[in-house]
Amino acid sequence: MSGNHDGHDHDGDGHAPHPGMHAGGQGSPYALRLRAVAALLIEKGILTQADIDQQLAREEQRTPADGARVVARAWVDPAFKARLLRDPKAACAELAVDASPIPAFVVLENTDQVQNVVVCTLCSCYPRAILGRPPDWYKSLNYRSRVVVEPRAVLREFGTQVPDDVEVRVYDSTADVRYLVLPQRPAGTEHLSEAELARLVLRDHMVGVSNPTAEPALVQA
Amino acid sequence: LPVEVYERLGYYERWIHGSELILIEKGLLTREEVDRKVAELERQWA
Repeated sequence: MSGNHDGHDHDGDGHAPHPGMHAGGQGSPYALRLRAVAALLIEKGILTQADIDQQLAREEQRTPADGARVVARAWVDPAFKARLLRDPKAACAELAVDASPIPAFVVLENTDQVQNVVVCTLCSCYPRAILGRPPDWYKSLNYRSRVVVEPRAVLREFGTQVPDDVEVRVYDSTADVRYLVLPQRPAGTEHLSEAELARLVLRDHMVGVSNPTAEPALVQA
Repeated sequence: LPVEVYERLGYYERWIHGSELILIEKGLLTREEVDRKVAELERQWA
């Protein structure tokens, strides 16, 4: 029920006691319908306000930093990487990253021969448990329709030149399967600590549209 | 959602509309209840 975000975003006040239920959301009549549906579900005892607040808080807590920690660990610890590829949920749990809401979770390893890219052609399926909310472009019709047809051209628009001898594999997410790309560790990072490595890993790298570099990452839009 | 509705709605509007339809299909809510509640909230917030 990601639609619940809508009411929260309007308020822009994380400290409000009932973020899902504020008045004053002018604009789309659907904002009002959402509030009406939520109010009815609470009246009927199907949901509580606490359930809604808790879910909102959970969604807000998740950021790509969790995924970056997983990637950095895989770079420094080959045994962890093997576990991550074999059983991603269990490996994430080792780092206190909770992937349990994802029905089936697959980690795709980039290699010298393969660049993996993730899309949801149908809607916006995304590994939210690991990366938080998807960026707007991930949900755009442009990305969803084009990346499967001309992935190299789309990646170029993200500033990513994939060499001709590297295969591009595009994975289409579904309601049941979510993917996380494990990018390659950039050259020239041998001296960096695990925490420093984690700072090189951005959301887009774990979707597969670009790749980490040895330069510390700038703030991501 | 029917194509013409899907095309017309924004991203989160689709979620809201779709969620409402599912709740109605599952028998948890009725369209009339939702309409009544919408009218009630509109009066409260007018």
